Parts: sequence; structure tokens; C-alpha cells
Amino acid sequence: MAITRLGGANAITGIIPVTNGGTGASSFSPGKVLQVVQTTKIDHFSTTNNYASLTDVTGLSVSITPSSSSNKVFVMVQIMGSVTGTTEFIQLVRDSTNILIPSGGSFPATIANDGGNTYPGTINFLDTPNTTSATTYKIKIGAQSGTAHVNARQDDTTNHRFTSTITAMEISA
Amino acid sequence: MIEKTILLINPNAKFSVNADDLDQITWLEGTTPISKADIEAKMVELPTAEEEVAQKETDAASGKQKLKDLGLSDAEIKALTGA
Repeated sequence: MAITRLGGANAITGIIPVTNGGTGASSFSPGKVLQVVQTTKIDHFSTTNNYASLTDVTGLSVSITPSSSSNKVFVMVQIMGSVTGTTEFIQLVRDSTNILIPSGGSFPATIANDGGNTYPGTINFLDTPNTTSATTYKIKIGAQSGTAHVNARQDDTTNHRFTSTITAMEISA
Repeated sequence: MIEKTILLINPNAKFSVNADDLDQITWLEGTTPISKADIEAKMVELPTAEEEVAQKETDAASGKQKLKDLGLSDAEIKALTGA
């Protein structure tokens, strides 16, 4: 069987037409994701603080330094929560500023008490920090009543454990 | 466990606990801190997680039997309790 070796004098250059299985493109823009940072919290956190004064979730934050002030940061959060009262509220914070606040107030995500079960609270947000300084994204929580938990089922914090993550990607403008 | 213990001592306490660590308790909203020694002393009075699970199973079986004694069928009990 004849073998054609590509490379050297046989290297393909120029535009490969679509009709020949190419893309027809003469150039490609560079990738848009410039960096990714992630923090995973594997231990249990709880607070009795209510939603009027939210509490930082220890160990659930991530720091990213954008390379250009025009770039954006895509933040993804999955937090496993439960609550002994009615509702656990979840707030995304950039440095010390609450972001992604819905019209009329309240919070970007909640987890309701459903028989003590643990559920994921999810936040996906494309932020525009307008800075090239180190920027920290973190999560605050509070309970409408009772005790709010992260990474554990509220009625059995010993045997029912989970993990939560926060991820930040710098996206080229 | 730590949060339950603290709330037994002070039901109105505002605090957070990280990593189930007595050294990582943050007292909030002016709550008077409770000493580690006091928390540890109270903690031994609480049932363990295994004891709590066993008690729940005992309560469930006892409750089901009481419903049966009242004349409810298994199907009726399941419809009411889901178990």
C-alpha cells in the first residue's frame, strides 16, 4: 500500500475549500478563554446568620487577574446546600460588592428546605469587572430561618457530605 | 454537631462554623462567644449521628405500628407517610 507522507514539500498551505473538506477560512481568531481558575470546597460550613446580613462561605472563593480591563470573567458556581429553616439564600460577591442582584432585590439563587435534603444552587454569570487588578469572587449565604449548611445534609451533617465549586474564566473581549 | 451544640447553649446565637472545627467558629452580630470547653462539655450530651439514625428508625417503626393498631392498612399507611 502506498503511503503519502504529509509535511515538508507535501505540506498543505493556503485555503482548503469546503468542497474539499476544508473550512474555507483563511485565518482563525485566537481562543477566547484566556485562563481558568477554580476552587473546590470539600468540608462542611454552617451558619445561623440570616439573609439580612449574609456570611462568607469560608473556602469558597476564587481570585483571578484579568489581562485586560475590557475582558470579561465568566463565573460558575455550584454550591450544595441545605437548611433547617425555610430557605437558604446565596449571593455572588465580587471583592466586597454583591453582584447579579435581581430586579426588586433578593438573591441570585436559593435552596429551599425539602425534607432536609441537600440541593445544588447554581450561578452562571458573565461579569465585566473593568479591571486588571486581582479580583476575588466569593459566595455569601444566609438563612431565612434556622441554620444554613454547605456541603452537608442539615439533619445528618456527619454522613451526608458533598462538594461545592466556584470557577472563574477570563474571556477575551 | 457543633452548630447543634451551640444552639442548645444559646438558641439565639448567630455564628458560622467551618470544617467542623471548634477553632473556626465566627461569632456574628454581637453574639457573646461560648468557650470551646463549654461547647465540648455540652457536645457529649448529644446523641451521635449513628444514635440519631437508629432513633429515627425506631420512631418510624413505632409510629407505623401505632397506625396499624388503629386499623390502618399498609397501603393507607404508605399513602400517608410515604413509607
